[in-house]
Amino acid sequence: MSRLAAAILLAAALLAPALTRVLADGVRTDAYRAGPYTVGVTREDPVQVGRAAGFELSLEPADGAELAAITLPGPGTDARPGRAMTTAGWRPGTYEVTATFPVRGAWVLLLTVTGGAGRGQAAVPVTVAAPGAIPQWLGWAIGLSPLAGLTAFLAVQVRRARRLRSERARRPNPV
Amino acid sequence: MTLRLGVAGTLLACLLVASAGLAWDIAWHTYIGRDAFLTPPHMVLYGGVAAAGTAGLTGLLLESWRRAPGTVSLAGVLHAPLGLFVTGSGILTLVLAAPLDNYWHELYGLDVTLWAPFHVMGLLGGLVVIIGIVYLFAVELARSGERLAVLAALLFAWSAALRMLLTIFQPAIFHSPTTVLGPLDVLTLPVGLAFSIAIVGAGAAEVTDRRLAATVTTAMAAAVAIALAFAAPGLVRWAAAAGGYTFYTAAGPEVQRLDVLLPLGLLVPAVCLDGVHRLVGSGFAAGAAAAVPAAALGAWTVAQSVPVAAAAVALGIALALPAGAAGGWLGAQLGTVWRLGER
Repeated sequence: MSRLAAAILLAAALLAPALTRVLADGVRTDAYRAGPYTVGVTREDPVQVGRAAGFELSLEPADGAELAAITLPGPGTDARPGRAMTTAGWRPGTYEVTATFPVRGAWVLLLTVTGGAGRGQAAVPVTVAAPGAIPQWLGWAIGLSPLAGLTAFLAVQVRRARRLRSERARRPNPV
Repeated sequence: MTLRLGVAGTLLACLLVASAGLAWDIAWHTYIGRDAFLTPPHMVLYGGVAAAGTAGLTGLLLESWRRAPGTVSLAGVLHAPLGLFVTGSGILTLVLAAPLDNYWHELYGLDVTLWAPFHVMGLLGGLVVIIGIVYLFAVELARSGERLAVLAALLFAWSAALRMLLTIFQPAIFHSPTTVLGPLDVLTLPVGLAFSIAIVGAGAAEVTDRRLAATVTTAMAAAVAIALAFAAPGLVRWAAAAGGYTFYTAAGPEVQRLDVLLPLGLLVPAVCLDGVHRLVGSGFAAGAAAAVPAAALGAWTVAQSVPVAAAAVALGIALALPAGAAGGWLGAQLGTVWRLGER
């Protein structure tokens, strides 16, 4: 029995780090300074393009400060700044920000905190991932495929025009 | 009004709505960008496509049920005029292109040029829809014995092809004015304009066999294009104010001079095409004749936006001649099918 208990303990000790990593994969929590405030941000990493991503925020000191958020494209991301929705959490000093990132790449979630302690901004870097990319050549091959269909259709119509003209020429003219 | 005419008229109306959405969407991209799939112009554009799909499917089912003459069969189950099948395949192409375009934007950015794979796929789908609607009106024209209203509707539908081709070649004005052919740089717009006006003009001249058919068709295209060019900036301003958007440029949306002058300028090659078609009766020759002023117009238009090397201009104008002749020949073949075909 004691051998079994020892084996279980050993297995748990060996598996625990891996299990923790699996469960925690994709979620991270970081702290940022926003002037006099410290903002803890818990979010998925990376977030998925085109889907609403949630950011759980906790503010220190929790003095009922107002929090606003916008999204800014990072270097190399061809996009425009966007809006993010902020709602207060049920515990004092907690907030939930929801933002949608329309293009994959580097983004920044810019948080502005205004409260009794003063005003500050924190830039939270966000990586936005997209589904597997198809190569440009394949995109063009699919995109131009209707042109092949159109060309084939036009070729058939050219033959049809020839046939219609010859049928008409054979038809006797009414006197 | 016959069932076919009703379906064709409904499809034409849906096409106009989608055209307005497309013009609005291009202006939206130019002045605001694209921050989501369901932007107001996209809703108008795809609303028009969805309505066209519903009308086309209804027409297809009704035609298959009543089995009237003048139809072709698909797999022995569906029976409808060829135009309905062509329109349906165009709508399917558009529907397929929409999510793929969204995917492409997510990968490569919001403001991908109009010459992106799935933009081109959508535009080609739109062109196929237009060709299908023209076929529908042509069948009615053959049945009704050249009723003026049906003829006018056919030319109006066909004029949409010229507008669509102008949209396809729009990036050749400013973003990508030249095409690299091996060691040569060729001005693209003269070639595109020559082909576009020639195929549409010769098709109109051949199907009607009347004077000024190409000019009337071009005038119809110009009228709609100019109306949309004036309306689109206002629509963008209105929607931006309602949605709290800001503009890329300080001045914001405004009517672009070239969006008005280019469609108007195409009346000159259309008149040339009509004249030569009347004299010679050949779409090939008429297309080549229209290519000269069309190429000059194309070169002038690009020169208003970007400086271009003289060699590229000369090559563009030189290639516009065979492009115009080929377009004229092809347009004449289509016009013949529309005039003589009964399906």
